[in-house]
Amino acid sequence: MSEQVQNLSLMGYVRRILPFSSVDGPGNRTIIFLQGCSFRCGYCHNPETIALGSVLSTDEVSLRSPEDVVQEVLKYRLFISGVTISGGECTLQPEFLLDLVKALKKENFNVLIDTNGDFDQAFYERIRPWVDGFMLDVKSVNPEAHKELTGEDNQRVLENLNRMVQDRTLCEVRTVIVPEWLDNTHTVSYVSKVLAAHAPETRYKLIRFRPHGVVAQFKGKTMPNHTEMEKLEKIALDAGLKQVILV
Amino acid sequence: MSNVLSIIQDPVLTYEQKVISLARAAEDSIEVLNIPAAVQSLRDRDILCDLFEGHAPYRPRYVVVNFEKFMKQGSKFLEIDPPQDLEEAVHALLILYKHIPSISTFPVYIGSLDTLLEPFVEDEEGAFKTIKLFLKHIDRTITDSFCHANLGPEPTRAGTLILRAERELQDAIPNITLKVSPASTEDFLRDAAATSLITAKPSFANHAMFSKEFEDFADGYAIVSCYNGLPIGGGSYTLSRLKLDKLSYEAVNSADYIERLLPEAIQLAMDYMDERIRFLVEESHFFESSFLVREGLIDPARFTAMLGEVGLAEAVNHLMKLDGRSGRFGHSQEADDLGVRIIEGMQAVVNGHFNPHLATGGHYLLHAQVGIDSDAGTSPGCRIPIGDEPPIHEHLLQAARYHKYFPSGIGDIFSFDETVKSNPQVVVDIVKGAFDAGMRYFSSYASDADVIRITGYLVKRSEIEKLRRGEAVLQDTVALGKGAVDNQHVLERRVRMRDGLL
Ligand code: SF4
Repeated sequence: MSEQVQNLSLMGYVRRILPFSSVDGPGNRTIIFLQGCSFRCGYCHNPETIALGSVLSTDEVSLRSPEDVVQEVLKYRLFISGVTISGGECTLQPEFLLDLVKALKKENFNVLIDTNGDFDQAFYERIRPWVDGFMLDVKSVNPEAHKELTGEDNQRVLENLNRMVQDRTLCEVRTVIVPEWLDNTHTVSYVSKVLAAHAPETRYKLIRFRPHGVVAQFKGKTMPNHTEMEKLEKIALDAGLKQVILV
Repeated sequence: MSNVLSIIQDPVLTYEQKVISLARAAEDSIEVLNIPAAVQSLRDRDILCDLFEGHAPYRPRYVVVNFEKFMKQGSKFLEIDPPQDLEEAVHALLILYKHIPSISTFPVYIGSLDTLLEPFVEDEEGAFKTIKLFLKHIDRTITDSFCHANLGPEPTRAGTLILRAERELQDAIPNITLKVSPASTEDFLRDAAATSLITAKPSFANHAMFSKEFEDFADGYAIVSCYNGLPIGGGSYTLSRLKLDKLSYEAVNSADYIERLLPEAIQLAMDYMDERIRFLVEESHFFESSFLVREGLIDPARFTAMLGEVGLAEAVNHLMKLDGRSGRFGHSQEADDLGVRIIEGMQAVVNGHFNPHLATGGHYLLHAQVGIDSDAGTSPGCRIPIGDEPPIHEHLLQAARYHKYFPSGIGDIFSFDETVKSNPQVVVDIVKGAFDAGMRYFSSYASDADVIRITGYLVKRSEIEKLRRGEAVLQDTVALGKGAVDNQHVLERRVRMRDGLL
C-alpha cells in the first residue's frame, strides 16, 4: 500500500499515546502510535493500526495536531528519556510526522522513529536533522519472502538500513524470527554483517514470533525454540555485534 | 505468665527469637507509665498503637550511631582502635553492631557503608570478597530486616562493590537506601536501579529534600529502619501511630473529623509519647549509662520522635461517603485534596505541641507508617490501597503531593515487569522525575524477584513459604512478611509496564 495522507500537513491520525514504555529505545519513553501501515505483515500484532483513511472509526483513532500531541507528551516529560514515534508505520503520514518531530524538538525531547523502513531517500534526508535516531524492522532480506510476508518489496528497507548504518543514525534493528518459513539465518547474517561493518554497537533485537493475535494463516506457525534463537544470537555475536537481545 | 510458657514451648521460634520474646514478656509484666484514661480508651479502640514498644521504655526505638566518628576514634569501651585497613574496618563495624540497642534489639542503621569503607578499598577484587562476606555476616546475624545501610550520593568503588555483592547474594538484609543528588552519576544510578530490580534494594531517597530538613544537624541525616529520616548521632525515642481509618468511623463528616476528632486524637497520641519519652530520658538511665553516649557516638540532643499514621486512603474514602461525595483516594482530585487537608491538619497540631526533649525544634516528626502484619483493610501511611493503584505516571504525581509532610519517612513501592530489568534506565528516569515532582522516597523491584519489599522492609518469598510449611526461619521479619502477604495482599501489587499496562 503506497497511499499517503496528503493535504493534512497539520493534522495526523494518532492511534494512541502510551505514557511509559521500557522496550522502545533507551530509557523510559513515551510512545506515540500513528495510524496506518504500508505493510500487511502476517504476524502483525496490531493489525488494527494498518488501515488509514475513511475506514477509521473515530473511537479508536483521533485526528490531532502536533501541538496537541506535544501537550500530552509534556505531562510525562519529568519521567522519560525521550519519545519514540511508532505505528503502524509513522512515515506513512510524512508531513504530519515532520511537523510532529519539529514540535517535539522545540521542547528538546530526544526523538526516535520506529519504522518498517519503507520510505525513500528524499524523506530520509528531510527527517534526519530532526530526530535522534531510528529503530528499524528488517523482516527479511529475501525479496520474495518479504513480499509474501508484508505485501511489499524490501528494496527501500535495505537501502535505509545501509544508509542509517553509514550515517550512524540507527539505534536498533529488529527481526521477528518465524521458524520454518522465513530464512532467518540469511536475514540475521546479512543484518549483522551490515551493522558490524560500521556500527557494531547498534542493538540488534531478535524477537520470537508469537502466534497469538495474528491472522489465521500464521496461527498455525510455531514459536522458535531456545536452540534456534541461540543459534541466531551466536551468528550476530560472531559477526562482531556488541548488543544482541533475545525477546 | 502463661505467655512466657507459650514462648518457651513455641515450635517455630528460633532460640534467639525466644530470648527476645521473653525479654518483651518481662518488660510487659510491669506498669510504670502514667496512662490517662482518654489515651487508654484510644488504644483500646485500636486507633492509637505503640507498635509493641513495650510497657517500660529502656532504650530509644531507633538509635542512629555516628559511624564516621567511630571510624575515626574507635571505642574505649569496646577496646577497638580506629581501623587501618578494610579487614579492621568491617570487624570494627560488626563488633559495634552487636552493641547498638533498638526496639527490635538489632541496629536499625548500620552506616553509610560506601563512604565508611571507601578509604580502605585498594585491590578491588580483594575488597569485593571482604565486602561480600561482611554483608553476608550482617544478613545471618542481624536477623531483622529493619536494619538499614545507606549509600551515596556520590559514586564510590565501595558503593559499586556493595551493589555487585547484593546482586549476587540476594539477601533480605540489610535494607539499603541510595541517597540521590546531582552528584550521583547516571552509571551509578543505573547500577543501583538494576540491583533494585533483582533484589529489591537499594531504594532511592531524595537527598536535597532530606538534607534541607535536617540541615540543623551537624552530621546530617540517615535513612533507617524502613525509610525513616533521622539525625545522625541521634535517633528516635519512640513512635506511635494513629489509624486514620479507624478514627474516621467515629466521625459525622469530614469537617467533624478534621476539626474535632483528629486534633483530639493527635494530642492524646503526643501525650502518650511524651510520657514514654519522660520515662526513657528521666527514669530509665539509658542516656547516663550507655557507652554510645559517653563516647559521643550518640548525643541526647539529637534525639527526636515520630508520630505515625496509617490508613489515610481508607479514611478519605469513608469521609467522602459521609460527605455524600463519590470520589476515591488516588482517583479523584477531590478525594486527594481531602487527604492533603487531613495531613496538613495533622502537621498543624503536631507543630503546635512542644516537648523540650525533641531535637527537631521541640516537635514530633510526621511518619507515614508502613503498617504491621496484622493490619487488614488499612493501607500503610498515605498509600493507595493495593489492587486500586492507578497507572504509574498518575500514581507518582498523586503520591508526591503527600511526601513533603513526612521528614521522618514516607515512600511508595513499585513492582515492575521483568522486561524492565534489561533497561534499568527506566527506573532511573522515573526516580528522577518522581523526585522533581516532590517525591521523597521510591522503592522498586521486578515482579519475579525472590527478595521483595513487603511494606518497608524486605523478605524473601521463599522464606515465607518455609514458614508457611511450619519450618523455623532465621529472620523474625519473615513472620511479619507472611502476615502482610495474607492480610495486605502485597504479592498482588500492580505490576508496572507489562504489556503496555502501566
Ligand atoms: S510493518 Fe509493523 S505495523 Fe505494519 S503490518 Fe508489519 S508488523 Fe504490522
